[in-house]
Amino acid sequence: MSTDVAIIGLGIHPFGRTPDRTGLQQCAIAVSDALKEANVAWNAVDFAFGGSTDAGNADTLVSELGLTGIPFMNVANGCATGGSALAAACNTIRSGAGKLGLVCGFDKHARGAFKVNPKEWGLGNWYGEEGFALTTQFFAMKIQRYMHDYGITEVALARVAEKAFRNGALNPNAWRKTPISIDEILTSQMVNDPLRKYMFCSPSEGAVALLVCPASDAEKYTKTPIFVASCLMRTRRFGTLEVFSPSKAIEDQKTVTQDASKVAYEEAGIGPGDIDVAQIQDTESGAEIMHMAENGLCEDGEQEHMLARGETDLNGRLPINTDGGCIANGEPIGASGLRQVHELCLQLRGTAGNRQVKASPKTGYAQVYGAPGVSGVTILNS
Amino acid sequence: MPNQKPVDANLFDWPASSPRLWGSRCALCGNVSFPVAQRCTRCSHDQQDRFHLSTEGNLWSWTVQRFPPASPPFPPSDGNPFEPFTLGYVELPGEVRVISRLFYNAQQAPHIGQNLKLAFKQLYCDADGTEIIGYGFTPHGDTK
Ligand SMILES: [Zn+2]
Repeated sequence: MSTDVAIIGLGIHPFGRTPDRTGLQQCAIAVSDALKEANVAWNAVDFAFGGSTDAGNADTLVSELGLTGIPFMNVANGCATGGSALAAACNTIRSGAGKLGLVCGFDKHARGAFKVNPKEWGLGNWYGEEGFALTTQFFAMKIQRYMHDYGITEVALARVAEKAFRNGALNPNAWRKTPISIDEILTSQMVNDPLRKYMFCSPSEGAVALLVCPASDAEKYTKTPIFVASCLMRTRRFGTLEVFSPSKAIEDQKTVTQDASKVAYEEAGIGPGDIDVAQIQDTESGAEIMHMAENGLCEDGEQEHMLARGETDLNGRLPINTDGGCIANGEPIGASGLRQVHELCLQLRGTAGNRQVKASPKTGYAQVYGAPGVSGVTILNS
Repeated sequence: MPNQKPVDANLFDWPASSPRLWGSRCALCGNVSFPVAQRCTRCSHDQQDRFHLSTEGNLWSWTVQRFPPASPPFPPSDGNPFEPFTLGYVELPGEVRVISRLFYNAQQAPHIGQNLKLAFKQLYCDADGTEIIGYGFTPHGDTK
């Protein structure tokens, strides 16, 4: 890696429902918090990448923040929007084309399941008429097969959700801040078998902003820079089961997350054993379980015991989704990936408050997954 | 008899004496696609030969859709209460796994490995009374 990249400012607008603010307004608040943290003015920022799915064009933010003429590129990669924006910003720094960049993501979705137009995903309208145009079905069928293959139980699914709400209760920016018991989760309404109501995240609202610069400039802005060891995204390869697949090859291949993860570890020059804290895509509790293995954080099937022993709790061996993840924060698509990065930065700085993990985590791992089979991985060092 | 038509004319012929799903096979690498593909997703070759997929397979995974999908694209309810439906991926041996509705009677339940055969069912009636036919699979014979 030519130039190391540092994250030197953080801002977040609380997730959940904020009826009196547009998504763009929420993002403008996150951006000004990030600027304040780094003690810089907006006119010092010389490039930006940002995105949202349902809340408008990110580059419109210049009319909230100031018309300084900088290049501001909109990113649209579904759930990987934030990860893609950060990856693009890192490349801009490394190439020397930018010295101080803004990376932002925000969203504001209507209530209820995401509305899907099959044509936008390269599918005939028949896909929706048969009743297949729902992301929730994909996650259900993927975990159903995984439970069959690796002996994961319904209780493990509930443990993931219970942990999410428990961590969310310690996070002032989370949407769901009330703990929910395993029994209550296991008796909540079945939505897409084997997944129940409290195992799913819901579309929500929120915004996150980060400021990045070359590592050599970091001390100008902060005493606690966080360094980007790798940040990349990948699209699916042949033979994997992904969202919105009318068919899947019989031969099984490595998933897009496995692909992205492998390259990310190589770029960072470390392995899964070096990770101290992780934020991984938990669209529902099955996804967290499968992504634990796909990101190399355990072997297939090990999750059952790891969860039973609390190994992924805040005080466990490998804390996962320490801010409550998507399950407790909901999913504003454009902001979700950067929320993970924001949380990792807090944990690595040691400023995560009541949910701070063991004394001084050095290396953090974030992974997002989204339709139609994209995965983004970021590895950070303190 | 009311008019009937397939939910998509490229998926299967309807009406037909023995309707089957259309797939395609890559002329270069043999990879099977559903629905019919213009280009192979494994090797990117652009000659794909259309053929009829197997009518029998086994259940690879499944779920039940218990809340009404957004309409459109899901057919409007026309005031009828939503009825949950089962769906899954059906493995057609030697070919491909296809997403499909699963049709069960009250005595049947889905399980992975179950033997299934192709079936068709009315999905909805369009505005002029034409019955729109969709495909699915239903249990068949001994199950593993
Ligand atoms: Zn081919």
